[in-house]
Amino acid sequence: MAKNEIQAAISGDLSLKILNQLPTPVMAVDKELNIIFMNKAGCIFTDKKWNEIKGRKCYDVFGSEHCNTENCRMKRVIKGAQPKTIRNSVLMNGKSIPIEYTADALRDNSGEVIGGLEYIIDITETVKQEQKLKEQSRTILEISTPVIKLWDRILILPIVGVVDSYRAQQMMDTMLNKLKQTSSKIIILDIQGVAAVDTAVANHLIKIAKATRLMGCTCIISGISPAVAQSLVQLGIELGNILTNSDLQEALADAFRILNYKVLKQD
Amino acid sequence: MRLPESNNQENLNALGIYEMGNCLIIPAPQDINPNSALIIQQTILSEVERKSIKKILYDVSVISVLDSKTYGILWGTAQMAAMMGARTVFISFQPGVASALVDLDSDIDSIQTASTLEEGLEIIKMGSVNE
Repeated sequence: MAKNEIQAAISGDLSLKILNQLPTPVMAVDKELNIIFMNKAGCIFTDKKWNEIKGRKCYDVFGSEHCNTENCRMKRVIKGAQPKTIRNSVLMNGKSIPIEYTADALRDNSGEVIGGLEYIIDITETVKQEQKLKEQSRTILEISTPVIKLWDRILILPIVGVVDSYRAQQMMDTMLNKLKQTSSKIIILDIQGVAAVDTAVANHLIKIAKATRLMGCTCIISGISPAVAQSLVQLGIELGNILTNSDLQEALADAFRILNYKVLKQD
Repeated sequence: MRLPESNNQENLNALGIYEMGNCLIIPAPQDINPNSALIIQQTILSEVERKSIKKILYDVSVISVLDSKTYGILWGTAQMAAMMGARTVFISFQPGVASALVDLDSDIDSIQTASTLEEGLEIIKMGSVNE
């Protein structure tokens, strides 16, 4: 498009045009929270005509969770607070819409605060995604602590993935309760599937092993790979008197030895 | 710390402490507190001295809440008894108690535990160290 064509298309006040065509609601209020400006997207968002909105209190138009509370950023910026992006939800046509809005003070030419302005972003999709993510991580968490009874008085907990403190706590709880239920004597922690063992993870493992000791059990950590052994030693982590093995078979053999079991081949 | 000299037989009955051979079996009360733990400690130690007890089974499986101070007394009891020549085996802390003690960073390496009373008796009979 040629330059003069653009100028023709947006005749009049250029900045006002742009503001009106901005696809996100923008609103300005005076110090008494009377709406003095709302762009087109804002009118569409509130499903009202500019004439209906003009001069009304913003809390009457939006009716959000923050309206008429101390949380209202608009009130705060008028009083001199810093601009900040914050989450909120508004009630539109009986439906609650999650939004994110940023408010700042509206100043005149001399820099005096004469009101506030804000822009609003509809974050329905983001919130949906977040909920989905939360659900998924909960599902993963639920399937991530399978304490399996391997043999009489022997339990095994295969650990796969990343061990953070929340998961470690959950593993500990599940494990100890299962120990109590089955009054097992040995618990094997198989860390073959743990990507990396750093000080934090090692500490969690040591904690778990100690807690099982308090319940009269022996904890064997199996599946220690060369890389893990190297990093544990290099980090200077003492596993103390916790039994460790490189693979599950050895760990099971150790467990059998402690319980005085013997595996015999039939003739 | 001075505690009232325990009136032995009476105390033993009140605390539900049993004696089998040279072994003492002590059930900890469910609502154990530092005071009751100290009374039990005093009783155990005087029994160890009087009857030359060699083995102590301290059943802590009914305790649902245990603070670190009380745990310190339990731990101390085991250490003191060890000095007097008696071995102490604790019977199964509850899951919640165990994880709390670990979180509180209590010293748990130097005590011995068994998962059931039966196993505790076995450990003591064999005289082996609980791995």
